[in-house]
Amino acid sequence: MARETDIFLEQVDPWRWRIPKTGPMRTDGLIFADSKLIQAVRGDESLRQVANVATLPGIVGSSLAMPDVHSGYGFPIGGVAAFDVDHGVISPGGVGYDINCGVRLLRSGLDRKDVEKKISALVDALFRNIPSGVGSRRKDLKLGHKDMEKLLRNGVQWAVEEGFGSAEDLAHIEAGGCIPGADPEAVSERAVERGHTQVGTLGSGNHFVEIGFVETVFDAEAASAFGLEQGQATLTIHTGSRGLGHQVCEEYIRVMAEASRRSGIELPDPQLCCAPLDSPEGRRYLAAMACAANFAFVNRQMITHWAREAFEEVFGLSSDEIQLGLVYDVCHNIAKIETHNVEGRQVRVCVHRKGATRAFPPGHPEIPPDYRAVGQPVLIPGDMGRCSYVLVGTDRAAQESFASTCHGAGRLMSRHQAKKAARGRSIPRELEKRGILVRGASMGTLVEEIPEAYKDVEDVVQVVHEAGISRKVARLRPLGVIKG
Amino acid sequence: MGGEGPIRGVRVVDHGGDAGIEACGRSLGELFERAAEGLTRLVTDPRKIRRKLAKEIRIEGEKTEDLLVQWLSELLYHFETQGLLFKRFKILGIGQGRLEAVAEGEPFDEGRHIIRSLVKAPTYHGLRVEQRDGLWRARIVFDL
Repeated sequence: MARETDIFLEQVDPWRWRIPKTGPMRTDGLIFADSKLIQAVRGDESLRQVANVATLPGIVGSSLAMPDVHSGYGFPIGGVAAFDVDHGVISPGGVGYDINCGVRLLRSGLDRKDVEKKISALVDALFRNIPSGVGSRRKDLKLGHKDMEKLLRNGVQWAVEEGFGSAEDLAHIEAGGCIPGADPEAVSERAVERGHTQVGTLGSGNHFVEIGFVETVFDAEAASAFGLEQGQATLTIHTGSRGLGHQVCEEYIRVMAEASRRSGIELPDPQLCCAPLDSPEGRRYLAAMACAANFAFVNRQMITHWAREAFEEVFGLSSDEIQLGLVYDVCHNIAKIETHNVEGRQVRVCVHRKGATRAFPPGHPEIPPDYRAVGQPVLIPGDMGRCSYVLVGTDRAAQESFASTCHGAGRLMSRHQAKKAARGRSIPRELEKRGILVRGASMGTLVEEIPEAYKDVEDVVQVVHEAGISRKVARLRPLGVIKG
Repeated sequence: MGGEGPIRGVRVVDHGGDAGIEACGRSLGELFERAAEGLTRLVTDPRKIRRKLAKEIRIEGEKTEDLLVQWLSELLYHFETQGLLFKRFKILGIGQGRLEAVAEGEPFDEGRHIIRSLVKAPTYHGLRVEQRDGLWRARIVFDL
C-alpha cells in the first residue's frame, strides 16, 4: 500500500504529534508516540486512516491514535474517536470484526516458584481444558436456543447463574460483563449459528491464555488495590467474540454502506461506512454490537472457569487455596456511550475504541468500589516472548483522550514477513530457552506471533506513561502460553 | 509491500498486520474463482485438499464488490461451521446482483491439513473490482 508522504505531521511535544485539520477533515488528528514509534507509522497507512476518521460527521475532539497504532481497514488499529450522540455517527468498522476482543487478568495465591515447578503440566492441562484451533469445542457444553438468547442479552450474568463464575467476577469486568441495550433480535440467525459452537473457545491469531508472574511493581498503592504483589503468579486471557462478532460486523457494514449513501455521508474509504447514532440502523447496530460484546465477555468467563479447573487439577488444591481471582476484564474493540468533559462542557458521546482500552480516572463511578480510589486497571498484553503491563487510568486521559489508552504492543511485521523471519527456526525451542513454554494448536499461526513481529510493548507503555494518559502499575513476565 | 508471486491469476499481498489478495481473470466469473483460490491459499495448502464433496452456493448482492465480499464470506462460513476447505471453484452464473457457484473440497482433517492463517472476514477497505486491458481485477484485504 502507498507510503504516507502526503500527510503533514507536526510535533507537539516529545509524546504527541498533530495532523492539522485540512481538506474534508472536521478536526485535527492527534497521535501519541515518541520519535521512534512515529517512524514505524510513517511507513504505513495509519496516518491517512487517522485523517480519514477525522472527516466523519459529528466527531468531537481530535481523531486519536495510540502509540501501538498500525494500519487497519477504515479505522486504524489503535484509533479512538468520539461522536456526539445527537449529531454523530456509529461505524461498525470503527469497532472491528472481533467485537469486544479484550483481555482479562487473574491474580492467584500461588507464587512464581509454585507454577514454575509444574509449568509443563499446567500448560498441558490448560491446552486440554480450553478449546483452541479449528473446530475445537467442549463437548460437555450444550447450549440451547434459549441459552444463547440469555447469554447475548445478559452477558456474564448468564454464566454466573449457570455456575461458571461468581458475583465477585461480575463486579470486576468492564460494564459488569454486560453492555446495556443488547437485543438478540438484532442478531441474525447465521451469526448465532456461528457463535453457538464457539462459546468458551480461544480462537486463533493473536489470542492466548498465558501463565505469568508479577516481575516488577511500579506503583505500590495501585498494585495493592488490585491485589497484585511481586513474585505472584498470574493468568491472562485474550480473546473476543469469535464468528458471532465477525458475522455481526460484516452484516452491519452492508447495512451501513446503504445508510451512508442515503444520508449523503461522503466516505474516504467504504470500510468507514456509518449511520447517525440516532437512526434505526445506528440503534440496531448498537443493540447487535452489545450482544456480540456480551458473547465475548462470556467467552472469557468460560475460559476462566476451565482455567481454574486446570489449576485445581494440577495442584490438587481447592479453588479457595488457589485463589484465581479476577483483577479486571477490559474491552479493546468497542463503541461505548459515555459522558466526557469537552472544553468545559459535559457531552454525551459514543467513543469508538478500535484497538484501544478505556482508562477511567480515580473516582469514576463505573470503577469497582475496591479500585475507585486509584483508578481503573488497564491490561496491556505484549508479545508472547517479552512482557505485559498493568496500568491505571488517569485524570489526564479523561481530559485528553476520552479516557482511552493503548491496547498492546502493535504489529510491526505483516504475518507473511513474520513467517519468513521464522523460517528454519524452532520458535517453541527459542521461547523455552527464554523460560517460556508455549503450546499452539497450529504451528502456522504460532510463527505469525514471533516476538519480533511486534513493537516492544515497553516503548508503547513508556509513551502513554510519559504522556500521562495512564500510569505504570506492574510488569508481568510470561512462563507458559497456549495459543489457538 | 511483500507478495508471494503470481499463482494462476492470484497473489497474496501484505497489508499492515493483515493480508490481502490480488486476483485477475478473463471474465468476472474467472476473477471470482481465482479470488476464492487466493483465500484458500491464505488459510491452508490447497494441494492437500481432496475434492470429496461439492457445495452449491447462491449469493445476492447489489454491487459487484458486495458479491465478491459475500462470496468469500460464504466460503469462510462453511469452513467455520462445518470445517469445509475448498480447492476448486466453478462460477455457474454471475450478474444482475446474483451469483451461483459450486465449490469442491473436503472437511478439515487435523492430520493432513495445515492451517496457515485463520481469516476472520473479507473487508471493504480499498476494495475495487474493475476491468482493465481486457482483464477483470480485484484487490481485497482480509481481517486476520
